[in-house]
Amino acid sequence: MAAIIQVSNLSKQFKDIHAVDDLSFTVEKGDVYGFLGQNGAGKSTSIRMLLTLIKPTAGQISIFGKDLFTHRREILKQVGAIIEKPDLYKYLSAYDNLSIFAKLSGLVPKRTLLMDRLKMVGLEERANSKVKTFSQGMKQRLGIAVALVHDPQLIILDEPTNGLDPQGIADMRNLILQLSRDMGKTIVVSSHLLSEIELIANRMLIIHKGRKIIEGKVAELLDPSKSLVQLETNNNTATREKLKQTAWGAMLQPDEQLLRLRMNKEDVPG
Amino acid sequence: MWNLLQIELFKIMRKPRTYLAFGIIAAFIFLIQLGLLVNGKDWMMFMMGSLGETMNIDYGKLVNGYAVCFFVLNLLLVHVPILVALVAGDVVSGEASMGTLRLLAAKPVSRTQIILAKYFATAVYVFALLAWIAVISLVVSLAVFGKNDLVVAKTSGLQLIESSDVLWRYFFAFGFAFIAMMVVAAISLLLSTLSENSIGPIVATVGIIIVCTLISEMEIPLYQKYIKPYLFTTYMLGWKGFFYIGSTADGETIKGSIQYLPAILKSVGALLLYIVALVSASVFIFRKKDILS
Repeated sequence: MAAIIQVSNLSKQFKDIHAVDDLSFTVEKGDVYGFLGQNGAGKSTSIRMLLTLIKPTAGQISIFGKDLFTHRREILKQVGAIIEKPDLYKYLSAYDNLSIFAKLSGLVPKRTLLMDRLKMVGLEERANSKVKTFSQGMKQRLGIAVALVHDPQLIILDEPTNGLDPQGIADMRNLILQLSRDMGKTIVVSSHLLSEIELIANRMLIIHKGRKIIEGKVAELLDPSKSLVQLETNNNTATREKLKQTAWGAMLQPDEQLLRLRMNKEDVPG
Repeated sequence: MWNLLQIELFKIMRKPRTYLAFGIIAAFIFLIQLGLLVNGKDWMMFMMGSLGETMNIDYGKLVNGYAVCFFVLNLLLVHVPILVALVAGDVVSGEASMGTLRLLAAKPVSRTQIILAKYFATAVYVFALLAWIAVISLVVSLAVFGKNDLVVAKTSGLQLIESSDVLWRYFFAFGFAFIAMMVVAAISLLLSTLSENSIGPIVATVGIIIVCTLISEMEIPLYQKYIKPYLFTTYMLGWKGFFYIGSTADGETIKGSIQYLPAILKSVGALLLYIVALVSASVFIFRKKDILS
């Protein structure tokens, strides 16, 4: 699989606070990639760096195989996003909002295309209504339409279910799955709810206090028959090398600064 | 860039606040015209002071369309900066507080283009506002009060400008005022890039104008010598220069002339320098800014 996003040693420091600390991860083509962490874990800061809203203190971001900050415009033409809650121009209609963001994405928007996108999120009847009259769920759906209006290859959704009622959450989940399955989009979705990520993502990263805890396939990470065992030694590098020469080597987690082994529960030493 | 400018203009045009300024100005001009229609002669007698006792003056002719326009110019150009700040102070900070700035900045357009498009869109708004003032005060005043020579008060006394020599001065004065207002817009824009709510930049812009105007007006040698030459407010009222007519050695006014043209050009130059510096600073700050709103 080709890497769509390749993040290496990404850090962001706000004065004394390390919002993101040496974060590395890879999102592959077709992934629904879950970005899981508590509030304040660094998810939104990381996502804002992926969208060039925040400049990293250190590290590299490569999207579609190109450096993000060198090829910013070219890359962002292929990216659609909802960043936290989808705030739009309240004094404009849904149609006008969509038209503005389509133009900003480099499109010459046609009415049929815009109406098609509004229909996709169930807002075609409210095309001419001002956004200030919309419920949170409707704004969220319009935000999705804005993110998808230019048919991007990569969709980044920061906490897309925030503020939605249960039906809205279910609709959002179905839409994400539909975009992935039927349209082959690569999707990064952040959430603080494991249950949410579990239902939609095939791969995920868990972030805590700006640092990566673990990254991998959701099915493997949540496999109830496996446990993740973390070892603490006075020389992790040497221990890792020694373990590689034993049967334990196959259980070692790659690309980790920490020494972790994924093993069957019954094999975990007492 | 053109695409961005169109979008910014569209947004400005769809905001109710935009039309508020046009409505306020129309109402204000109407009140001035009504007041001068009813009490214009009294006002002119007051303006002429003791001169009226020594000269035979037809006050009815002095209260004409051009005099009313000149009066409107004097009154409004002091207050239009507030209306300009209302729109320009909101262009970036308003989007930050609304939450749309992050969507805008995550699109494939450069941040420099975003700021320039916002500034040019503000320029179109300011131009429209001044054109609105110029046209409604001129058309209505000429229709109601008629056309005649314009009397302008100078520190050296009164000066008469022939009716046929007024109109171009009037439009040039508005042209100058446009540049002056664009300095106000540039200050608001700069403050707007530093803030995440609209009120702060609007209030701060008005505050800066008031403080700078007060310092410019104070007859304190320290301020006059070392500070006043560097304040933008020193140059903002340069439009009045278009109504100071040149004269020959024996005191005859020269039609079509401007008495202090170099001073006007110097003011225009200073204001343009302010615009370039302030807009460049806005671009620099916005390009470096982490968008956290």
